[in-house]
Amino acid sequence: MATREAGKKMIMLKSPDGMEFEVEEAVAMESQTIRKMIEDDCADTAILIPNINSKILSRVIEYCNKHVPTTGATGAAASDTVAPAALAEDLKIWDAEFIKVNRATRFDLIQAASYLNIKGLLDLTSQTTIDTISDNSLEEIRSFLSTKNDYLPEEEQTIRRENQWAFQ
Amino acid sequence: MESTAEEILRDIFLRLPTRDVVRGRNVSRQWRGLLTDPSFVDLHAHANHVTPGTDGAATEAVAVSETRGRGIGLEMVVLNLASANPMCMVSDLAAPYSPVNACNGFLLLAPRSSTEGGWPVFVCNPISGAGENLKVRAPPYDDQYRHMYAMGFSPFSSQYKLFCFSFMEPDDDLWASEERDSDLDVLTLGDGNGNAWHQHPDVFPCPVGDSLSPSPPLSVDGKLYVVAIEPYLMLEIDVATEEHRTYPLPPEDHPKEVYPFEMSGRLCVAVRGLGDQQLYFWFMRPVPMQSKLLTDGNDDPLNNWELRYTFYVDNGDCDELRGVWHDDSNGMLCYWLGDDLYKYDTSKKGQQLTADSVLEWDHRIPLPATMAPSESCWEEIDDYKHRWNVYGGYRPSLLSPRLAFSTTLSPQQDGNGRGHLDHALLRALRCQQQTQQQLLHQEDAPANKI
Repeated sequence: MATREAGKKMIMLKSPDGMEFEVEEAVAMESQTIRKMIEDDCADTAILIPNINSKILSRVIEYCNKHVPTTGATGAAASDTVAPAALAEDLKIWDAEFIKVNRATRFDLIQAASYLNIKGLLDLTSQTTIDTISDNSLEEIRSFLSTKNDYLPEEEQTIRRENQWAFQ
Repeated sequence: MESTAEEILRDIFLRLPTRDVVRGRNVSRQWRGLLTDPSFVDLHAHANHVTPGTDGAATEAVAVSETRGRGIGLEMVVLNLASANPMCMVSDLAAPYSPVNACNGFLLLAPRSSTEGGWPVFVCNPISGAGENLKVRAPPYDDQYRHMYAMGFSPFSSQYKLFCFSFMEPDDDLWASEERDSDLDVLTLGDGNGNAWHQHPDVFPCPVGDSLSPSPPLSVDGKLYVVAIEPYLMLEIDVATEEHRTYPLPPEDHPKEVYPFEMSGRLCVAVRGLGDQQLYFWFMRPVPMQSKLLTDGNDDPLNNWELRYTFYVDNGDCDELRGVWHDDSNGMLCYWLGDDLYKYDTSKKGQQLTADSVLEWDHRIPLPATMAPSESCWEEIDDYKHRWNVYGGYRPSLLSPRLAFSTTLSPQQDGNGRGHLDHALLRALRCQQQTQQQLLHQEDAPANKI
């Protein structure tokens, strides 16, 4: 994607640590927040994205690039040759790889997805966290939440008994 | 950044099922604080996946054991069938109290038999603990009336309502069956109106809630359904508008069990005739509410009902139906008769079902007889009675009835209602019921107190 076709409108996104990212307008508009800025004509030059560092912003752009609907001139060819179902399957696999990040990065991504209002990314990052909490033991959840068990043993036993229906 | 992470996780927990939130409370004191915070509880309980919106939330079932005996009143254990672990125990409740129906995260307890005019009803959440129950005064009737209560929920108005059918106690000397109409009183919970009853303008042409219709009322998709055997019909009340109509029930010459239940948001009825080994599962066809018909005797029931499954039950002479329910999470259709639990996997694919083919159950699970002493057993124990029932339509929620529905009239200020029943639910003891423990296969199973 190094070379851009003429006629595609480009948008400059700036992270607070000074990095600049040139992206297609369609890609940037995956973010409802940015879409609104563009539609309201508040985005003549570069858009500063506060609170999202360049490392996270580059990942977010990577996600949007992959997920932008392929309806453009180049995209049409792609969707003609690949069946939609296969395309969706391909995206799923890509998503699964994309989300293989550590907890801190995932939280940063949730935060960024929430601020930029990118529903697909928010669902993906949140769902992964939901699965982590649903599928794991209490000890694993504690380590995931990086929280310490500060219950007294007998106190924990009592609470555990009261809630035993929630444990299989 | 820590507080942001906390916020993110709080939002994540809002999207998790009640069970995972309860597990999360066990993580640490800090998390217990966050996940018991009233604003969190309120948001979570009203999330679409917990309380059904128009798209519904999967329904579960709770099993309730009731033990009555001289000097102990009622002892009750509520069991979550999804985990087979007890959720709570209630003891020292007056003996005539009984669970009526489950409605989302709540269980309604009301005096059942005989004429307990004026006794309050209780709205409980089996997971929220003792102090969270709501006590509601009964509508004013004298002792000649019998009552049947029901709780319904409307996803359209987000309202919970209590319904109370009242009819005159039949006089054995008279055959005045034509006179046995029912009055209906309705109470909207938490309407800021002091939880006051108002009388429904219509009178219902049957003794709703008579012993002839033992199946619990059911709230599905904003409607409350009550089965009557004599006359043989189903009453439907729209919870939000309180409009009502009656349906003919599926055809059956000598109906013995007519049990409504919910399957993936649809109303179904299990029907079995007197002494019949065959059991029929009927699905209700959607009928537009505009056709507001009061009983029209000529209406063909097959316009309303579609026969979906037919099964044999081996112990068809047994008359202790304990529950019919569908577990939406695994597609299991369950039928509990006497000491046998029958299961059929409705999610199986590739099966061509015709209405008149008799299906094989996937499982028949004999349950330990200690759970439900037979009639002869009861005699030996003398005053001791024990039974199990299953209530479908349950969706675990964290909502506290007291917080959600409390009004300016708190139970403490309500001087008239204070009496020997007051302490019953509130002062819960941890009972050690041998028979219950055998069922639970739990050696140490004191649970959450109601």
